[in-house]
Amino acid sequence: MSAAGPRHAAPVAAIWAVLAFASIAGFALAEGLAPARIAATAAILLAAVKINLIMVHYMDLTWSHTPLRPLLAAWLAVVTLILLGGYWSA
Amino acid sequence: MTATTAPDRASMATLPGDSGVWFFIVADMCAFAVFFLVFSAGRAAEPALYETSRRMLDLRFGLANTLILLTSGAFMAQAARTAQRGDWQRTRTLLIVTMITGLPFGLSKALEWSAKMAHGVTLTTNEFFTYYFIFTGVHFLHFAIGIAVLIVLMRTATDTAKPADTRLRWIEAGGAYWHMVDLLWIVLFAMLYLLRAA
Repeated sequence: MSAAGPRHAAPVAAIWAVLAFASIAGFALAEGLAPARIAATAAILLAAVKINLIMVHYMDLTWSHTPLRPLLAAWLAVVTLILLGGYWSA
Repeated sequence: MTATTAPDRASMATLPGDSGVWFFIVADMCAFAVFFLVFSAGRAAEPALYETSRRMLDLRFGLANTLILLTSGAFMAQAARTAQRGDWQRTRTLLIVTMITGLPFGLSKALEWSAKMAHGVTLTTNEFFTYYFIFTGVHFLHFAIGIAVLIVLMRTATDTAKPADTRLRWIEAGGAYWHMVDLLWIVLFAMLYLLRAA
């Protein structure tokens, strides 16, 4: 975090609204709003987007926080690939 | 009496919270990544079993739990921002709201697990449910620890015996842990509930 100046560009409520909408969208797709493979892939990608939003806006992590931010970004990429790989290889 | 002095941000390390807590968070997340890998490998090996089992879950519980944790996490984020401004009384109030909005997650999990068990679905039913109960159980343990952390933070927020920088560090570190509980659930929700097979 920079010592001076605001670190938060987005209001918490706005981030919450995006996270909630993405969660409901993933749920609706899984309930049959889209073909199975599209719905599952979207659910995984939406989860990745949500996690990234939490890391940036709630956990307050920026790319200046090395090695933590790159490490968590790598974690997210690996987990996303694990879920996509597990699903598409079935 | 509540201190309203804003912490001296320039004198603090740049990382929010505490580096030791972040080390724990990364280690814990890596352990969960192994869980996700094991589950995904199992799903790839037996897709029919996993899909049949997934259909036995109530997706509404999964969504409700997600929204509960997201809402609680939003209040936690606001609490940390308020602490950064040095408004400790409001920080404490927001931490209380964080806990109150998070507690229904525990109730919801208890209802979901008991409904499953009432239908004879247990840890030993099949591989999917073994993972389901273990992963959600371990996650629930993290949730319970998080509630305890929030209680400590509520006391810390208005503890004028502690310097403002120390209080802020604790609140940011506890907040990072609470957000980890949230983001791990987001993966579990997608992995266990939402991956509908073709």
